[in-house]
Amino acid sequence: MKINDNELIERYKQGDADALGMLAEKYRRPLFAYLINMTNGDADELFQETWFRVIKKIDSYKNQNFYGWLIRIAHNLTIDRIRKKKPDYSLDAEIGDGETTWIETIPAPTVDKDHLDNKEIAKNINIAIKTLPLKQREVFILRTYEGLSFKEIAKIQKTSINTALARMQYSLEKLRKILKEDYNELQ
Amino acid sequence: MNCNNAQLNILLRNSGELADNLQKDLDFHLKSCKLCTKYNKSMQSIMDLAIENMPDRGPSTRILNNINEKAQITHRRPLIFRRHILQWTAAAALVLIVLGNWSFSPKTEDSNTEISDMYAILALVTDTAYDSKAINDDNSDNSVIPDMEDLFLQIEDSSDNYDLTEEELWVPQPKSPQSYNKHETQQKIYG
Repeated sequence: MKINDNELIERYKQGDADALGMLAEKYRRPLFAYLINMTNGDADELFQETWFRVIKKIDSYKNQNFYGWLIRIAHNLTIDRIRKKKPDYSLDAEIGDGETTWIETIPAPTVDKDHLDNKEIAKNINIAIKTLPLKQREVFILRTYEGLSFKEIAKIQKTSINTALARMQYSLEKLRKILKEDYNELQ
Repeated sequence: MNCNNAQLNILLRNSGELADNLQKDLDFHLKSCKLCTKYNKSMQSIMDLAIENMPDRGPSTRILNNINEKAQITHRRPLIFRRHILQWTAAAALVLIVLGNWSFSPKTEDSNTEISDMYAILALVTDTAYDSKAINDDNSDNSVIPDMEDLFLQIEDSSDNYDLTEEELWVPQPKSPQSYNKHETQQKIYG
């Protein structure tokens, strides 16, 4: 039987500590995928911090979209972490365009097209995603992996729906350019 | 609908946010525009490719255990067991116990004696302090406040010779209506 998020939170508030464990398990993969793509090796720590913040702020949660709320917490913690590491870092900065970024310079994917197996495909696409500027990358991940609407994404990024849409367009275009040589269907 | 709008609307349709009245326009545009049809196909392929290859790694077991542990420690208790409510209830109960003990305890002769003793000691301390001040003033000493050690010695000396009489210790007790004697009262008033 599927229990909805608000019911689990209500159970947690009533004293059932396992209800929170069920929520953490439910969103383990998508939340971690978001963090792993947004940060450079801090995903574990940020995952823990996000859930600790959820526990602390659970009283301020007002039966909204729990997953959107969870991602908003993760987003704020991620941005704080990035700013702490590199106070001058621009969230719109391109990787490798001369500007100093907190992410290591990631090599462009180079593979033998005739022997492209699933592992290599996964590696390529994930490397390509990491080359996107942070804000565009975030929109792409939130829309693709997390399935959030543009309205929710705009709320998380504190921007307009049109800006979120434009970022998605740019990110798709860049990914298409990076990957088109390896995948005929993207030509 | 131009190509730029059509491409934005493709994204909105995929997320279920495209207004109904624009759906038909978009379909109509896609039927006639090869470029946008290709765009739609390649965007969908990129997204499918990303979903299929979404990082499979999860957080370590240690992290999950930490979260569960934190949830167990700070899990929400039912309203009646919330910490601040308990604290206020305990404080109120304590105040009631103290007040109840004080107001309902029987006023025995011993307790009256204790109160009288306290008054006597207070009077003694006040008198002694006043005397010391007077002595200090006579000696034209600058120190107005008497030396505390001397003061305690004086209290000790005086208290040895200070005995309260039975009369001084007597505290009038209220009479119950049953014990009220009309004759006695009249005698007190009229002599």
